[in-house]
Amino acid sequence: MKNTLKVERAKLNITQQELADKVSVSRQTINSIEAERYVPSTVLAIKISEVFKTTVNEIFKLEKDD
Amino acid sequence: MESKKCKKEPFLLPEYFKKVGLVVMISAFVPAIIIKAMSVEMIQSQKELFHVFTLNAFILGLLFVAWSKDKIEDEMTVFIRLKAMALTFTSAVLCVIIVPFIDLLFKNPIANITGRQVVMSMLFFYLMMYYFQKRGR
Repeated sequence: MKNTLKVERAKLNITQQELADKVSVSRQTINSIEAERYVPSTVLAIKISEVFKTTVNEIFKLEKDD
Repeated sequence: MESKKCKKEPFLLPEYFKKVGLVVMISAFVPAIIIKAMSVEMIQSQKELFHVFTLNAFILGLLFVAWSKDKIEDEMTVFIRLKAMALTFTSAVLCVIIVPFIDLLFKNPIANITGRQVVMSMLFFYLMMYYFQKRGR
């Protein structure tokens, strides 16, 4: 699963730590999601999309092999 | 949004249990070292009892460290814990299968591993895997 988390974060000019605090997870979790090493749960994906005031589909996109 | 019926978080002890675990582990070994250093005379039954007590306390300490929450416990730490547990369980099963063959090949009785030793090595392995994976994130 691809994501545009880094881009969205840059648009809002917030750090990984700030985003992590907003969605109540660790900075490592945000880093892992950005590096596509970890796929977040539906709850966390919705929380992240709410921070960026967009939809989950705008940030997370399925790849061919998903 | 969180449903009570479908709670994802496993049962874990509070964070301070990590410190409690370390204290338990140290306090299990300090008397053993002192007794060894002072070469205190003990009868066989006392020795066995002391050995059991030391190992049990050490295992309990390890359990406290392994089963206590991190500073920030989130869904990824739960995922890492699950992976570490799966790796630990798989390696324990493989060890149980392989060790008797090593014993046969080298005529060395390492197959006589006690339950306490298995549990202790599983807890060590779990902790190693957990922190190794967490560092890699």
